[in-house]
Amino acid sequence: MWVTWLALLRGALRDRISLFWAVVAPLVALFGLGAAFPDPDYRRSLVLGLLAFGAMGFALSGTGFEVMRQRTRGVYKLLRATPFRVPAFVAAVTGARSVVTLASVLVVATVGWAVYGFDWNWQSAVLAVPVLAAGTACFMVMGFLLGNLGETESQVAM
Amino acid sequence: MNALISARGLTKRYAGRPVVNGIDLDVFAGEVLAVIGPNGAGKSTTLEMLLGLRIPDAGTVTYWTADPRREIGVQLQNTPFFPGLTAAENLQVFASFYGLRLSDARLRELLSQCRLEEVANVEAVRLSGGQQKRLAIAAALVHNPKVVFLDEPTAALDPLARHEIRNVVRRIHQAGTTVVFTSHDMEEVEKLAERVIIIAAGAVVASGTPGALTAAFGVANLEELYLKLIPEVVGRCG
Repeated sequence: MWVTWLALLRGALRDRISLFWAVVAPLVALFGLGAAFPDPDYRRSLVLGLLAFGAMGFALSGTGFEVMRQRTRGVYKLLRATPFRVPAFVAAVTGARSVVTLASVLVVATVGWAVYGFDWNWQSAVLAVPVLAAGTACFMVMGFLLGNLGETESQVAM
Repeated sequence: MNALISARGLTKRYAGRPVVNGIDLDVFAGEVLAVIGPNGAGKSTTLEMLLGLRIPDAGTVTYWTADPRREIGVQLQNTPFFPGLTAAENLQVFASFYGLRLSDARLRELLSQCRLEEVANVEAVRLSGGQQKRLAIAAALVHNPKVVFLDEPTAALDPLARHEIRNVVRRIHQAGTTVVFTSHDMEEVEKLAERVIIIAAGAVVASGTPGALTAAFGVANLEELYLKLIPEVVGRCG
């Protein structure tokens, strides 16, 4: 299971398009909108909104498309012909994408904090981790549902 | 001969219509067995029941081993490679499905067996069609199975790529693995198979060695046999 998880993690880290939407796009929006609207309250809300945007992009859309691709290409069918259990594979996919999602939102949060200098204390920073993890898990579940219900990429996208 | 896999009276219906209708089939140790027949004949459904991917409505499948999933390799028509991972990394993922981690030596052996040494570090989804098929076969061999099922391994490939796949299949067979494959290419079946099972309208209509079959039906080759036999059976079944 660890080998599967590590390999899927490596694959997720090489997914440049998804990483662009999870990290680069939020950072561009962070700098662009933060410069256009220099209000501290707005910037704080902006960072929080972009954290959700990044998590949603990678965990929800990314997982949805990935699961649909795996389904249509026969990953789950092939797994049934091996001793590897489908729930273990789902756990490996979820674990790999969760790590990348959390890492990407931490990058955005850290850059937002460093650039705009919010007075966040360590307690709120620590509390943010389980909240982000729970949010990521929710988006991931929705992604799995979308990936299993959609027959085509356009259906998943809708 | 020892049958590694024996199917008796295999039946599968979809929406009440029988797709596979009481098929008896044996896979013997060390042979290269070709399962051929027209589209919709029930070949894939039969193979999927042999692999445990579909539960038969009637009939039984018995295996030489208690845990066939650990001892059978499968190459599906569309093998799902993982994006972002190289050919070698994909083989490690497939090995992990069997609880294995490939040593460098075993990885090199597999890549060499399937003539993939030069593309080991190329992203799998960027390989050519022939290379992807060879990688799919290598993926089916990661756990050193006793039997390997290849579902149309040369479909949609150019003649050179088909030739390379045939050589790979010969090497697998020479290494002692039992090979079961499906194909629509009768010339390929004649070149590779030691035994042929022809399925049409959900039933086995003929089986035997290519030589015995052509002699029994008074035809020059398997293609002629196919063209003689299949329209008769399909026409009879409506």
